[in-house]
Amino acid sequence: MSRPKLDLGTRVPRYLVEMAVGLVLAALIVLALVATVGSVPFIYQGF
Amino acid sequence: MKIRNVKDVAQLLDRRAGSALGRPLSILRTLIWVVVGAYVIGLLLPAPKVVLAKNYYNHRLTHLRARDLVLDKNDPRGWQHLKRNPHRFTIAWIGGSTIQKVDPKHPGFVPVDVMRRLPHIDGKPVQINMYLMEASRTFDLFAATADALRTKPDLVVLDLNPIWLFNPNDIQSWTNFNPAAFPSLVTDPGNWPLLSALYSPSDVALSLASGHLASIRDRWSYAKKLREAIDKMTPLTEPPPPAPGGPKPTGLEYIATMQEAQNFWNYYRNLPRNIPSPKRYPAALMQAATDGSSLNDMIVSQMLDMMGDSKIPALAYVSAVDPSTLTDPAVDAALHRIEDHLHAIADDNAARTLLVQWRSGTRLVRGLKFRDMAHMIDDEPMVNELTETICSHLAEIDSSTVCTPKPRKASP
Repeated sequence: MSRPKLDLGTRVPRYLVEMAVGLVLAALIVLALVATVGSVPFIYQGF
Repeated sequence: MKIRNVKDVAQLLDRRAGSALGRPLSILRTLIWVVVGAYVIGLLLPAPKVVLAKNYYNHRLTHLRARDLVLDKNDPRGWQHLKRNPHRFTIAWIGGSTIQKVDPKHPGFVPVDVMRRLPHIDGKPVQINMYLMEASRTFDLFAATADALRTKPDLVVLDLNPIWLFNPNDIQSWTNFNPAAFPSLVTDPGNWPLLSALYSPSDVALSLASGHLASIRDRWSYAKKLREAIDKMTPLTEPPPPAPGGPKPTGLEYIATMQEAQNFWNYYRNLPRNIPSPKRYPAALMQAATDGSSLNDMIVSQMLDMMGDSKIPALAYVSAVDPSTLTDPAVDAALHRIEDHLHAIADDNAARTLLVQWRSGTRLVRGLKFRDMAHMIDDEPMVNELTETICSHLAEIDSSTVCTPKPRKASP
């Protein structure tokens, strides 16, 4: 029985790049959502 | 390797990054990391908690068994829930500014004044959970009612302001409720046409994400904290508010005081600008579309249907308007038109636990005092009427209900 070829030399950099891109995207998405919510308290000023 | 063209760059990146993001599975793994990242941010940087007692209205409700559950108009969480106390009779009271008493010396709230006349039901102290939404429109009431029903209160009371109830030019104001109300509304296919008309894809996506990702759900709290930090650094200052009692600003100065696009719409587009302020409410009332052509009909119908299906005792009533405005036959006729139309929709959605008081409070009580067409200075006659209606409705649903209001105040 032959051992499966894991080919880690190619896969590890790929997985690391995917993780890095994913985490950076997550941070940017959260930051964009936070930045686009108006947080000045709303006080009704009449019709 | 010598780089001569874009292909060479792509090959170089592929070699160094193991062809990341080059295949569908790789993109899927990256997206999973995005979700994991958003989740971890919420864990590592928890948002400051919302203190309900600090909400705009709640400082007036200290030491009372009443709370306003509605969060800021920009907060996509919409509302905050209190843990239900089984030893209290919980009334969820939903409405706009019309559930306030706007007496400058003694401001108050209709639900709180009802609670004062009706401190106990079935031997339990009454707890008021208010959903008070200033400038609320029909779809906002629907969203809040859907949420209130989910919390399983003992009674739901819904205030319907006739000025906006069937006005097709102003259907929704609190769009921040969209993500929060989506889980409650989407389960009924009858609501899908409304969701497709009034929701954007981002409302749906953010609602789904908010379910488990605190960093997305609590973004208003993060934004508030961030703004407080940034405000210390910015050289920009807010324009000073107009002097109280001074002349009403016009043009750009007036626009600078507007907090939302709806103000602009109402002032410059929805109503003619030459209408003096006291006439603006009657003008809006007369815009009501009662021929079955507007989306409002579907909202009201779905709302009453949902209240009836819940089997939770519910009262929907049309708030009072200033009787002096009804001396104009056109305004009076418009109010009759609205009442009759609501009556017809209520008949189509009749349920044993639901009472729709389709006539405006103005038709039922005398002695009301108003600041303008919609806002009461003295709510006592309306409070008396509502207190007695609540008790008679609860007794009709269950004759063993113990609901005895305190005696009315003696007339001066």
